[in-house]
Amino acid sequence: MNEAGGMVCAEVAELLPWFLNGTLKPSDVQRIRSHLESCPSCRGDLGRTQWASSVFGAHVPAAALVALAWNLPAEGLDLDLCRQHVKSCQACAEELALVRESRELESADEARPAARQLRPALRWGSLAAALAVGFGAGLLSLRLTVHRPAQEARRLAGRVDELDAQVRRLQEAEARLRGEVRRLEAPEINLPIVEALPDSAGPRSQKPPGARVLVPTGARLVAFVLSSGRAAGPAAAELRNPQGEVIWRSSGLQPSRLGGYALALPTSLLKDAEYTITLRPDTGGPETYSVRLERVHP
Amino acid sequence: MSPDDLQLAADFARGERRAVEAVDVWLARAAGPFRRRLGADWEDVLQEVRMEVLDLVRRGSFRGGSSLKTYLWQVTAHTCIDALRRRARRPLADPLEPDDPRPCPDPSPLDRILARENDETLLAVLEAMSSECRELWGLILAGLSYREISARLGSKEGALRVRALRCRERAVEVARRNALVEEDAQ
Repeated sequence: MNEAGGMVCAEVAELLPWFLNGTLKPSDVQRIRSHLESCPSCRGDLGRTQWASSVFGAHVPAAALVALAWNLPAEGLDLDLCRQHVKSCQACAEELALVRESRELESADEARPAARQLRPALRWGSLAAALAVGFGAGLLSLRLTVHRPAQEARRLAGRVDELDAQVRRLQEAEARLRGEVRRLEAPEINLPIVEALPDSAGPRSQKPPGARVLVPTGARLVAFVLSSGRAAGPAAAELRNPQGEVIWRSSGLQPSRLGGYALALPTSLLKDAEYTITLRPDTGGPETYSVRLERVHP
Repeated sequence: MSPDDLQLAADFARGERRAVEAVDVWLARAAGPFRRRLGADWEDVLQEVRMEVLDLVRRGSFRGGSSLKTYLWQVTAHTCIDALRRRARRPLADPLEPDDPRPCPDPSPLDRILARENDETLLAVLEAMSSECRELWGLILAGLSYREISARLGSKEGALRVRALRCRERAVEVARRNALVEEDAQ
């Protein structure tokens, strides 16, 4: 008897399943490891315990589940043994049910085009025959349920149609979104850049007309360089429409090294009209810039 | 093999757009029932199915024993089941790191029998095991400690450990007997 690691072989053998499933105390794990180090016999036991875990974790091979669902012979597989296992194994039974569900979808899928190809005469004939059969079956017994598989096939075919339509809608939406992403990711060429002077730079006697800004049709952005005499620190800015409503606001503008503040506005916000940009430096009073936008064809 | 299937398989292998789209619709439909179980992994598994199908078709594995659609459906079901099993069942981890004691270097004839394991021989042994052994080892494989199993089954810890060992020995004995029967048959 080997007592390496402070354990005898019999004790190690009993603990090996839990040594393998990782639930032993670290001290026990260490003792078993020390024992295994010097005991070839227990190392053999360890191999057999791992093998036993493969046995007790065995399930029907996936190929056999497919064969069972499609009623096919399976080369090299004992399907009777697999059927026997499925009866007592919930996991395998659930997997087989999923494979069978998939197979039913294939059958439903095949039934649809076949039905569409029926010639009209045959179709009417089939309808009459089906009615006759249905009537006869109803007379024989109300408990007969032969129509159920057909109903189920129709229901599944309808469901497949719905899903087809849904897939088409999603594919169209994906194509639209991809187009939008491509458009947004494309470089902005011919970006209109406008230098704006504060209204206070004009004559004090009258409100100056807004600087005319020509925006080429198709431009996504228009950039403004606000030439401010107070560009010394961070500032906030807001854009007002002709009705005086704030339609865009931002803060944290930093002065450009060339003087003033730079910002780009999305043209989707702007119409052909006069707008006011109010710049509020953290230090000093606000400045307003009036601009009059006009879209032009390049 | 139907000429249409042959053409479709060839077009798909070449990556012809219509063929790829047609096959893709079938694969998604075939994998549909597994979506519930695979959850967020479903898209990844579907991609795995696509790669598997492409590989099989390019290697000429589709030989026309069934229609192309049935073949694709079966490959999809097979791949989805494999994916479910990878998620759900983790074999007991081998705790032997490279610097840990190595397995027995001189395997016995019995160890050599056990090394010939395949799905079917394992299943045959399992089916010969008692429901008590299957239940006990099922709990071990589920990662329960012997104390937890003892509480759940209402057995003493010592008796439980002995029972697990006896179940293992019984499985080994069945495997040995099955191997002998197999050798006799040959």
